[in-house]
Amino acid sequence: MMNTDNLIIVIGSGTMGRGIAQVALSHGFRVHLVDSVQSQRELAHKSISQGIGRALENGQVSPEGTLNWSERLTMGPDWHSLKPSWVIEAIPESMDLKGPLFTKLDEEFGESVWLASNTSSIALTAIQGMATRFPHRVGGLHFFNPVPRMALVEVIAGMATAPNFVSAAHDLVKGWGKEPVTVPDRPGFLVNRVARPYYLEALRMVEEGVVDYADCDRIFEGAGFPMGPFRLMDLVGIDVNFSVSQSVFEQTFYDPRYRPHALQQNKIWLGHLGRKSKRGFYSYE
Amino acid sequence: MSDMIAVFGPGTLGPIIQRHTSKEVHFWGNDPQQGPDPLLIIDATLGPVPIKRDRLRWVAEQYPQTLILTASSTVLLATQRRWITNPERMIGFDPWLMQIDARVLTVADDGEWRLFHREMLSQIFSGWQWQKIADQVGAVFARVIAPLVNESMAYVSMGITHEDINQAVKLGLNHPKGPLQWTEVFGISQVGLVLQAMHRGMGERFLPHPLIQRQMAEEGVNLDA
Ligand SMILES: NC(=O)c1ccc[n+]([C@@H]2O[C@H](COP(=O)([O-])OP(=O)(O)OC[C@H]3O[C@@H](n4cnc5c(N)ncnc54)[C@H](O)[C@@H]3O)[C@@H](O)[C@H]2O)c1
Repeated sequence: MMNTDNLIIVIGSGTMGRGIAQVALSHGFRVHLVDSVQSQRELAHKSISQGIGRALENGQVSPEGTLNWSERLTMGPDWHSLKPSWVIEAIPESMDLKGPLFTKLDEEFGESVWLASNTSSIALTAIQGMATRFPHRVGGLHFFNPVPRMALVEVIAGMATAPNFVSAAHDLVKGWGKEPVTVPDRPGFLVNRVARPYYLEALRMVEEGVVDYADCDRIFEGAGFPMGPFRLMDLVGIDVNFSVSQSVFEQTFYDPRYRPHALQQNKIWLGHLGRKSKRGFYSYE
Repeated sequence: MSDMIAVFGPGTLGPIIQRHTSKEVHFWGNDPQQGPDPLLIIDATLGPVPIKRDRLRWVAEQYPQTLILTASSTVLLATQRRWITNPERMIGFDPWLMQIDARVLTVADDGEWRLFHREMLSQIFSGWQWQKIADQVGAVFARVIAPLVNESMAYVSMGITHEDINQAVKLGLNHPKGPLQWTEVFGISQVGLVLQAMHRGMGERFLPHPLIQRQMAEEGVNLDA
């Protein structure tokens, strides 16, 4: 049986979970990756293996950190009697899924185990409400996609989170070469909230006929942004971008600043979701 | 007509403009001067509107033929054209793009005069592309940057440091500058002027954050001061 030393349980082996596991494994940690779907676990293993291989080739991780990584990785549909220092949850963005999971985690793990969610939009305080035994050891670790390449991690303290959680979270992700920033538990946390005008005002300007989308991109790219708002929405996925606005809008009790835009809704109805569907604001045929 | 370009506005603009032209750039600060007709007058000030209006009127009377490039991100070009004689010689622009020396600068104009104006600007300046947009407060760049700064003020008021906010936005969104770094370039109260103008013209969502309002009050800056 594994002991507490440097053992992380990651729950959900999708896009984010496998990225988080890869980063932990690249820094000498042991990881138990949980997913209810076996094929997802297999895909995750392959992706981690390729990811570490590439990162080694490009000198982004050290040979010492990644040494014997595959021996430090276990996987399964459950976590049995493991004793981790952290549990990081990365299952789909739904309170109906995350809520019961945190209730279970809170019941099964002792007070000294930190429980973190990688949620991008659910209030941490709401998740704490589902972990009533020790809510103070619950908080947010919001990684960005792709996890191995994006340095930022938003550390989110819910209303009941202990200051110790925040300092432990900083220590953990700094050890993984990440840059933690502590942000408040408000809709969109920090980055997704401050980013809203970049997309929403751009959409409104195009609708108002101030500028067309391609010229709008050219203006922002000319000002040093790597991608204009429309090119970026196409990359992220118009549906994904829309749902972030929608969630911030709803959670702020309909603050008009975050009102999602009908132009995006129309694109979604037509299946023009961006690069992934070969068509968004631009065409990628 | 002399070969000189006269500029009002932020002091940092002079050297940036000079890098893009072989003409001599005169920085007029806040006081327009008498002398030979400049080739071009640039008014990069955002407000207060009454001061901008009086100055533009004086300048337009003093130099009745000179082309004027005027900041139109807080007052419509259509409004400013009504202030002066020979209004067709006036072109609107977003000075913030010029202040950060962006590759593409936006201009507001009407169709009829566009070609002539574009040729003039391309002759005078090298290395800048001019993109025509509709005449609307906020233009394009300021329309996005000012609300972005406004959003970040909520975090400042919650005690998050400027460094953390800038860091999060740069790393998380790949923006070239963090929100508080934009305010270092443009000035918080100037951001407030853009928000104030958009708040009036386009709605509630642009209401400047109380921290910005306080800063404007302390500096005595206001659109109608
Ligand atoms: N994808 C992104 O860009 C991104 C960025 C930041 C945060 N997030 C957040 O990270 C979380 C995960 O997102 P993702 O994109 O990796 O999702 P995903 O759909 O790629 O992966 C989710 C995985 O969780 C598994 N799963 C579902 N229910 C489970 C359960 N009860 N127990 C164990 N495994 C379960 C699924 O089989 C799947 O493999 C979400 O909360 C999302 O909002 C995503």
